[in-house]
Amino acid sequence: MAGYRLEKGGLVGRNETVNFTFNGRPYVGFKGDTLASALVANGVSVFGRSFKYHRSRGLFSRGAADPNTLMQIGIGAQTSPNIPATQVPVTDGLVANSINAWPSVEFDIGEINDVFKRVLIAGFYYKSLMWPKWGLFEPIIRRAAGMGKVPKEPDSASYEIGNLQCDVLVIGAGLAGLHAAQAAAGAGADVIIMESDTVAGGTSLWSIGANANEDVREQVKRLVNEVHSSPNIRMLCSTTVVSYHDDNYLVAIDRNCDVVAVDERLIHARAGSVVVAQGAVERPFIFENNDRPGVIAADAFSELIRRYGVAFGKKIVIFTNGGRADDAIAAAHEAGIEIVAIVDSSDGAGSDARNDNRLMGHVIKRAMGRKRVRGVEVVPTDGQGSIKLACDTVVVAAGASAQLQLFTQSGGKLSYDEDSASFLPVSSMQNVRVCGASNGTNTPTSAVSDGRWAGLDAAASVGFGDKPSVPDLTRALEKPLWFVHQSSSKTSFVDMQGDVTVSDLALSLRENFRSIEHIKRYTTLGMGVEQGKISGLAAIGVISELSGKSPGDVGTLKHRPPYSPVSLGALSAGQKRGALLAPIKKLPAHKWHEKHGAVFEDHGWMRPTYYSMSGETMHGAAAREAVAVRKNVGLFDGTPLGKFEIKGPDAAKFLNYIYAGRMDTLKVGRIRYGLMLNENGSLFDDGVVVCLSKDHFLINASSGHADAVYDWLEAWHQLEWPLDLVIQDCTAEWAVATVAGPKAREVLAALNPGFDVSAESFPHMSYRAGHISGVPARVQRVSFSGEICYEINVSADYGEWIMHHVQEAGKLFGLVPYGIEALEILRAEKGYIHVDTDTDSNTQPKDIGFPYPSKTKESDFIGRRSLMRPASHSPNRQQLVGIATADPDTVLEVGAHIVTGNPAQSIGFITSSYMSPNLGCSIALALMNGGKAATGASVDVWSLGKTVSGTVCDPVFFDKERGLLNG
Amino acid sequence: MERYSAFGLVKHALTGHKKWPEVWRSPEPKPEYDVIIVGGGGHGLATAYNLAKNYKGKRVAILEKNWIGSGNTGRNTTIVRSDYYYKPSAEFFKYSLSLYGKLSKELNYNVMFSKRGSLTLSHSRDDFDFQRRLVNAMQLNGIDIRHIGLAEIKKICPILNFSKDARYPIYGAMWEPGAGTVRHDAVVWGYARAADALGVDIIQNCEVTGINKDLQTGAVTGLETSRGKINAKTIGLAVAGHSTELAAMAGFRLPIRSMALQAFVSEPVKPVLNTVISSRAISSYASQSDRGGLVMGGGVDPYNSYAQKGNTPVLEEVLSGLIELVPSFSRVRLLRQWAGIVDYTYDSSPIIGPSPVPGLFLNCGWGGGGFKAIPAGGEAFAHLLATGQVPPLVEAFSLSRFKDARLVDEAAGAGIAH
Amino acid sequence: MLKIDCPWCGSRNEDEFSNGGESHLVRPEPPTSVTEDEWANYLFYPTNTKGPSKETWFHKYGCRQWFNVTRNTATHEILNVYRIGENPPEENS
Repeated sequence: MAGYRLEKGGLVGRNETVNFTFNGRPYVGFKGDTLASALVANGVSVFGRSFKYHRSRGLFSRGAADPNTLMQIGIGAQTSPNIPATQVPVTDGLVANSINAWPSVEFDIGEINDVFKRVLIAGFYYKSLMWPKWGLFEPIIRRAAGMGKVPKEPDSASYEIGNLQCDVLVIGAGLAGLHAAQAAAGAGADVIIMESDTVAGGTSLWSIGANANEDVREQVKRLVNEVHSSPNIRMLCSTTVVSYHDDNYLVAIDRNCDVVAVDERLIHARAGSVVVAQGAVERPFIFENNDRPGVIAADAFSELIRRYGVAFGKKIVIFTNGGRADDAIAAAHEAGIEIVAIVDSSDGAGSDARNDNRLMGHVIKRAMGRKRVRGVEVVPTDGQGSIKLACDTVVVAAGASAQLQLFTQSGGKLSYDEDSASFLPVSSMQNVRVCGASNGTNTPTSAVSDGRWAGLDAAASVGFGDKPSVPDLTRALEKPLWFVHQSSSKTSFVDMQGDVTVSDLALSLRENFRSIEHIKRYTTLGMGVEQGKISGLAAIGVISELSGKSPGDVGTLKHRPPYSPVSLGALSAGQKRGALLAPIKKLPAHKWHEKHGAVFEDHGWMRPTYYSMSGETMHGAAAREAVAVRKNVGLFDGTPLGKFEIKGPDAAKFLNYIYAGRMDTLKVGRIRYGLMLNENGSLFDDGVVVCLSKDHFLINASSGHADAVYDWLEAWHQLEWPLDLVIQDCTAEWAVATVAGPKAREVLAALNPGFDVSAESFPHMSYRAGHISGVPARVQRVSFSGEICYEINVSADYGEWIMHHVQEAGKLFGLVPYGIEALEILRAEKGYIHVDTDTDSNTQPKDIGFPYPSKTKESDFIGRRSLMRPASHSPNRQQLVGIATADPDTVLEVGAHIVTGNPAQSIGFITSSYMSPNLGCSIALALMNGGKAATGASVDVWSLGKTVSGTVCDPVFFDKERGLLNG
Repeated sequence: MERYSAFGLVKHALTGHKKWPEVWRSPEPKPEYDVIIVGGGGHGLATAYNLAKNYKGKRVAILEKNWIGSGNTGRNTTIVRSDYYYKPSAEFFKYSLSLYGKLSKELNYNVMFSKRGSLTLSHSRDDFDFQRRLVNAMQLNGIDIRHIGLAEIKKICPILNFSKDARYPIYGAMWEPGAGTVRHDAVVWGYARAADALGVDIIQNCEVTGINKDLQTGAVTGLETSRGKINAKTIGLAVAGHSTELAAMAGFRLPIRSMALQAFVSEPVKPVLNTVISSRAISSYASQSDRGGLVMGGGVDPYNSYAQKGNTPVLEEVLSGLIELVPSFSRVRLLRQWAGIVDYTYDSSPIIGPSPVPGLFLNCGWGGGGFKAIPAGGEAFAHLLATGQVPPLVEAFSLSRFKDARLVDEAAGAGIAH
Repeated sequence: MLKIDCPWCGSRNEDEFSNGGESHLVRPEPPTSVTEDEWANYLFYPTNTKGPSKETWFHKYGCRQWFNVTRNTATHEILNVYRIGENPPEENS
């Protein structure tokens, strides 16, 4: 016989029915049900199958602790694997399916493993499946393992993040937590209380607690209302705190978002102090077939009756060790459930005589029945004989597992307490305290006084009220029965989800796995979704008995975050999705580029690669643009260039430190190229320095390094050379229209900038400020193409305007817009490098033709000392060279290697490579071992199996005399 | 040592598995050994095994502060690859991967080497060009790796997001078919069992508190430990994460930063990801364990740390990146988050060789890549400890390279540290 | 997520900052005067202290000021914060 709905009772909305399906069959539940309670109410016993042996499993525990009721929830893009039915509020249209069972949960072929379990011992795979090779077995093991399924479609759920801050954060809205919140708020603290259940109240909603004299259920309802109406307490239900990090930073997941269209909300909370009041859950008794459907923890049994109005069975046997089961017994009486017997492992000495059908000094040796318990065999703890009792349910009250996972995550330490047979908090690393059942209290009175103390203490620790005195607490005195020795250890399950049995633990000890961590890893104990919440302490007890050590010496399992599983989607809700993952930066003139047919690529900024005219390919367009620049004039958007202004009396001195070259001799209005090195002497960035006035410089950084250069300048200024100057990033403040080509001067003149543009008055590497149509403009005559070139800087607001304006002015001169690809061709023709593309982390200035430190530079600069090391003078360093292919039409592949010998060894690699439309042949730049000295040598260039012959040459292919540049 | 086999499993089943022998002994430390290895992780154990196997007659002990495998070996994401750029690294990791292929048979312990391949994605032309440079270098160094385009990537890993509208659209990849994963604990236990069988004393819960040196020669004479004084004239340190502390006991400094490298695992789900995937642009990598969990990781937490604990920023960065690659992973749930403390050197290459103190040798600085180095690292370190000579395989990884500026800068080549 | 008390902006989350490594690092002056070994020590050999360690941090997404932090690398606890150029406060832990 299975479970059923009671005529009355419970906190569910009996007038509001909810329709859902499980394994394709329709069922009806009530509002307020969980999927688990609704299934039990509908008489479902088998919820799923176990991981390894595929044994039938039913409801055992509650909330996040239940090991047996994992389901596939939802369909299509909205399906989630491995969700405990105990954590799913039942809703209309809910679709739930069992996992890990085929063809069905009632008849699962995988159960054959249960027959083979004599061989499938813990870690059997370490000892076998090697011959002929693991690769043959792995696919079978993989298919058999795993649990639920990942949806095929992209997730359509939406997630968001919220950041919270408070003086006191209380975790758990049970009796202790509510009192803690109320006390802390009373002292004046700003309090947040988070409860993972859908409603506040905790176990007190349905448990009267041991030895309670008043109706705690009524008391807690009142308390919940008070807390709800308190102005400085914010209560978040359906909100699970999942991890506890440094400086009281906690992460929680809110699964009942009040915002429409948000499925889960990630909460990042920073608390002044924290109160852990997560309560405790009943752990399993460990006996033969203790995993069968029908065996249920006492707390889950009571909760079904009093919260959901559901009876788990008709005829129950209760298994306990002393007074722990009193609440379940009372609940059973209320529900009119027949108690066949109470099997009590304690000898009864010292306890009150009880007027019930109690078998003192007895234990359940085994449960009978496969898909549902049919009866139990009971034996005396010492002595002979056995009794068989028919029943459909076994309620176990073995002892509590305090929930201290978050406390240990915070750095808190636990110690084993023999009297209460539990691990209790002893010291904390952060501002946190534990109260209530998490702290081992076992009566409502203790929970209340402990909660009040914790709330006041937490508030006092952050400056609200006085520090309270520590209350006297009662804790249950337990003589634990860690496992039933008379049972077969092979089917006495310690970790039901992982199918870890007593014999598995015994085997690992026999094989000398002594550390609890070794045992865990060897047997997979506590590694499932339940994460050891109820199996952890149970296992420690078993190991303690098997090894003859005290549980304290066995130690605890490390509880790593998260407390209970969280969707990856929710956890990363603070990060943006798709295009916003890393925001795409668009140029001020983006629309202008689009209008001119630009094809963009992401270089940190979306930049035009080329401008497509009537179906051109990239190569076709880039060649056309590059030719146009050399022939007439081109227009390029150079806006992303890093731009920093350095101003102050010491600016020149500072730049001398920053650049390998000398900057203090730069005259006003002049520009100098410079290399930035790191302290290891390697190239960090290159760019030009513009002297605006004696104490005012503008420096350019390559666009890809702009952020890094900005940080670099700040670091050296603040940490090493606190000179009298300020640094301002103006990268995004100026848009840059670059005009390059033999007719660039005519275009600039046509723009009428208000200064003399003649070669004599405005030579290469100089700077002028002027106005273009009234708009202030800074014009730098510098060149990355080898042509006469002006970089016209205007306020970014005029970014689109300047492109348009220059284009109009250039029409007479055949001006065309050109993109990155054409620029690359032009700069490669000139042998100009890109730091990082044509250099690597070993490249020093001399390797690319700058023999720093120059003789005239006396002062120190970053990286100077490293250039003096013997290794920096090795003739065999990788140096920048050009490579000309034997066949001028063959374009080398970037990343091809220059090879020598047999077998071929790399002596360098191609860094940039293009077909030069201006030279009519391919050109390439390379870094090559001892490359300078090898000029003229024939080399083989190898890429992905193909070899091309070429000749080492000067990296400058075009206008070696620099005549054009200075024209 | 009793040989493990399927037959053995059946045989032991007949006696209820009551007769399985100890996998290793738990000996009391002796007052003196010929060689002591500090650190019972993969490198220490592999070193001890190779010492005992190849240089017979030496009395060897391993001292482990906690339990064997409790450091990075038992915390890493179990990926083994050989896609390193510079020749010394390529030769070393190629050899190490080849040893992994034979390890189960060598140790008679199933380390579950799953040769499922490693796919390192690129997302732009520049990325793809850069990968071509790496692939060519690796191919020239004899590594089985290929430079592949979209069509092949789709065949290898169809669940990726191939949309052109993805923030980082997939452009190409490096594909190392011989890479894969290895069960980390099995490596620890397999080496420990084999080393123990050859007479190595594995001493757990034994913390080194001091390093003793001869006042005259400055050479090591032994160790102070939580279990008493233990002498040896040859001592090897294989204590990733704690190398600096041990070096300080011996009176010198190391070019190392200790940093936390996090790892994440999801709940077990049915097979969905059949290869190792990684991407530099999104700072994430993932594979699926045989048990079914998605094992994920990324870069180090960006400051020095000896605290083995997870944090939120890197976690969220890794997960959001991974979801970008495989959007349906969004509904999979995270099960555990943890961290190991790794040794970072300036050039992201290891240090394996003599220390400034005679008789004391170093095996450290592996960054996030130590696990894949275990078989070859153990072999080379054993050679060094037994003979005092640096084997050619690891010559480039000397401590002196920092003074001579002969760095092996794998920071660029190795990409995300695995 | 560390809580870092920027001496200019007050208490902010770790992800607004970047860590600059060890502080009070003395750059050899002038660098050209030191030996290869001394230079290598400066470049590559941090103290890598386990326990209270003096570091520089940069409020990158804030005031963009660098400052000193004493942080316990074994626990991540921040013991004190002080400005560049200041001496570390007397440690009381």
